[in-house]
Amino acid sequence: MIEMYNVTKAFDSIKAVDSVSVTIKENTVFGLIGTNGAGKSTALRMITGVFKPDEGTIAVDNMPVYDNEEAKNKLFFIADEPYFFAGSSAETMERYYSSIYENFDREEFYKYLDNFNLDRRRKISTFSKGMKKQLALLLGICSHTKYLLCDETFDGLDPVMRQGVKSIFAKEMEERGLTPVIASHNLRELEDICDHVGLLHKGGVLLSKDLEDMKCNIQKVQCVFSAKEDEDKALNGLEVLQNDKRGSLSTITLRSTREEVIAHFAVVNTVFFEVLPLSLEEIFISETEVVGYDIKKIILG
Amino acid sequence: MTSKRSFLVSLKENNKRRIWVWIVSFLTMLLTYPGIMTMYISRIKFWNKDGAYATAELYKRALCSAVTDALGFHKFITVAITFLAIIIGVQGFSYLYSRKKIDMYHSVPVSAKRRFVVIYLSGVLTYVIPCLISVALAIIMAAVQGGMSSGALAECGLALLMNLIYFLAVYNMAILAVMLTGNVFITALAIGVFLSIGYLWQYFFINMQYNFFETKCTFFDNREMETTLSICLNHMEASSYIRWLDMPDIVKNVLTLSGRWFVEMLLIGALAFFCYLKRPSEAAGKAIAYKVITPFLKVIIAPTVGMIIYILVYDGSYSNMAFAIFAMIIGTILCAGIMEIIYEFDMRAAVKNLVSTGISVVVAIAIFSIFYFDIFSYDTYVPDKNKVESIAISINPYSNSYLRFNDGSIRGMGEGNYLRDNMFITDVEPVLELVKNNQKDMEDVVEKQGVFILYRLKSGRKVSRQATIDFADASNAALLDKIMGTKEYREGVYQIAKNADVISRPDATITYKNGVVEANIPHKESEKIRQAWLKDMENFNFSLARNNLPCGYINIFYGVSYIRVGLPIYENFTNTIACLEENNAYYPLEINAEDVLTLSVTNYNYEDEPNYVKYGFDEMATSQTSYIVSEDFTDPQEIAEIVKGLYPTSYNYGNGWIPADMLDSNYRVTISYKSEADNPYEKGYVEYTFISGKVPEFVAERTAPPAED
Repeated sequence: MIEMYNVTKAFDSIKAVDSVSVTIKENTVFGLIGTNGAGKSTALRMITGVFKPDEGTIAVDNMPVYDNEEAKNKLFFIADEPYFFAGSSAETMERYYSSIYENFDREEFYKYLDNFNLDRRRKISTFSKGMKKQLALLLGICSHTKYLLCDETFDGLDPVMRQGVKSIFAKEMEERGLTPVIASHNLRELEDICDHVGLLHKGGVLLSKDLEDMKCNIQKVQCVFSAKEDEDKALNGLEVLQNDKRGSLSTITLRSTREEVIAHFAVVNTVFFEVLPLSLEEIFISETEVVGYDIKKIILG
Repeated sequence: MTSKRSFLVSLKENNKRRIWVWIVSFLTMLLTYPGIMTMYISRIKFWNKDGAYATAELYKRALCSAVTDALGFHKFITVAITFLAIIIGVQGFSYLYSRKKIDMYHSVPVSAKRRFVVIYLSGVLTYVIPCLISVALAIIMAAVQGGMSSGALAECGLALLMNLIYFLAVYNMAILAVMLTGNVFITALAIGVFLSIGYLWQYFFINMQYNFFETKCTFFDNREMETTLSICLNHMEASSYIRWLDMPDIVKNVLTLSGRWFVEMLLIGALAFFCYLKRPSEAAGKAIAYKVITPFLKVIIAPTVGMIIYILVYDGSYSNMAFAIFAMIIGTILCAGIMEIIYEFDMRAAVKNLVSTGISVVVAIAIFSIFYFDIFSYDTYVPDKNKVESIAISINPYSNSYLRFNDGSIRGMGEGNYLRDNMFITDVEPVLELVKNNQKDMEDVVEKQGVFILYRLKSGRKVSRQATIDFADASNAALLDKIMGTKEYREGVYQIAKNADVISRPDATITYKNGVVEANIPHKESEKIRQAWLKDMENFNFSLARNNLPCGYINIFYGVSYIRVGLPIYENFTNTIACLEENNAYYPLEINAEDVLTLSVTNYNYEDEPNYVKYGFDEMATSQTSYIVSEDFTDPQEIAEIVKGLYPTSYNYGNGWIPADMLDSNYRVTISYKSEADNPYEKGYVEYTFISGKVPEFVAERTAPPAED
């Protein structure tokens, strides 16, 4: 488990991370969401021991991480612009990382490399941006660290590759309990990957929740009520987050379980009724609007 | 749990990424050792073809000397090592400039200590291995060509030791510069500051002392003293002078310098290591890694620049102090502003942090005031007699020659250096009294003479001062008699007293000269003549030198080196004169008028007072105007009259002691002797003047300026 408690980091007079407390549980895919400058990269760099927090504590499996080899052995950090040695190839980088990480799986690395059609001897400088990110991901995965921290790594990966990486994550999580931590400025990038999401804004945490919990507790209903009384009756006792009407069609976002919603609507007359799945974006909009933020401006620009 | 990497694997991995540095290091070292040596040997071979070496032995000696020069101490090595130390040091830790690289290196499970040690040792190996291979190659090449000797090997070993410590010191300095800065441009500036600031301080302090302190004295200093605070110049200076020393002195110098640099290296290295551990990763790309030190750097560097500007403007404006102070203040402010711009990469930052700029100006003015107002009483310093262990003093108005014998060769050395190491006067009171007596306005004193004094304090500190002494003052004469009459003074000032080699070396030619004749002294008599002269010198003191003119000199000449040592002889030096007479080498200071063919007298007719002319805003004294009249005399009677009053001026041993009016400075006399003259008259140009009051009237009349209408 990675625990950040009350962590603050400032660059000169600018606070990049301000009193952040987040817990990243094992064997989940943790998404760290935020706009540019929200403090995602700084947070990741502190978690991986690149930066030392000005205040607060960070512990990886109960060990302080800064300049601690043992704690860092559990982490692999893929920066937003991963660095590869000048003139190096995938093979060169493998040799370096396999000399650093005690569990680096060379066989697996070359297998993945072939699967992703990356030439092991080709100079990395001739790789596309996406290929470099793939290579960095494969190096990170094959290092067999418990935690894999990715900074904007999925941005720019094509859907096929994303699916490929997602499968590998699933496999590694199942086999050895990998915990990926993925930072992105784009909610849509993480929607299909993350189990838990932390939302950073202006250096602070707006929200940190389990995605399933969020999904289970927020429902979107589309319906046409027969009469106004039916609507009042159906919504009575439910926490309505949003209620849009277009003609007679109501789109209502509610904080409740699916079963409870269905039970409430079953006792009223409706011309049309359907419980729809919510996108991560919609969940976030709903959740953050409650606390007074316009999430569309924060995440979606 | 630690990283699975072994230390050697780490070193190997690290070195894979510095291949180009290895190539640069190899090329530099190959050029420095086999390259330079090949050049030197080729030169010797070329000269040998031209017949420069009479025997095979001389040729071999020249080859060995060339090899010693190439493998031992020479200035190019300083340049090569400095270059490599900076390149290797900066390259090794240059990843700290890049956020991308830091993300990788600082996130992997390698502790900062281990990472530092791996990079540091890789850098050292990048220097040591190419250096040793190049030296080995050069030694093999030298041996094949017959130029290798044990001396060259020993000198090479000592130089390697000294150079390694020098390398480590500069290497650590370069690493410290990287630690303190965030990009390569600022690192280069920082290295420049590190390498030069010590010298700039010394340059400033020495110049300020010269400008404001009348008693400033560098007579006893090593040349390298002026470069002590700049390790680079210090090494360069050392490399150029150490090569001329004897092996024991080489060892002593190498160990002393290496010891000093070793301490510097450790201190700088420890600071660099500490800074590495504390360096924030986010410093990459910034000008200065630690914001907290920026005002301190400003307060150190800006006043230094201001003070150097003061010296340059003061000298350049012919001592216009007001203008120089103005320039110093402006220079300090400008430098402080430029530093702020560099700190923030923003022109508008020039006017930021005005408090530290103001402190910089105050510091510059405060340091200037120390000199201007002589706050530490530099000029009136006289140590307490109980605190002084011994004193060296140079009173000579002329310069003695001092010799350094090295591996068969002879080289000159400075009087100050010799006195510093050889004169230990323990009766310090007369010297201290002499200095105190003469701490007064000397502007109107005619017969003043500068003396140099080195106080060796019991605390181990050495302090040197210059004092101006009134030679005509009777109380001074008594004190000088006391000082010059001591054995410690004689043994300290005359090298021949301690070292018989000065006269007994087989390559020394010994003659007796008195400005008229020159007679050879058999070499086998050298020790005898030395003992006789030393015996006579026991009666030598200031009064003797002040009131008498020498009647001749023992002249020791080393033809190959063109070095000459002169030992003055006075008429009461009976032992020396007897010894010379035994060898038919003594001639009284008399010119036989019958031997003179012609005698030419030039009267410069100097006016008594100097003329003053306008020069800019100042009035400057020009040389005394004169009306030169020359007259040749061939009449035997006139010649006989003239020669009675002549004294040779060609050799001035002793002339400086006498009162200024003992010899008449108006006249210059040259003599042509008849070819059949018996006396062994000196060959070459010999010049005479008249002893005051002994100018014949007819000479004065015939060389007087024409009467004005």
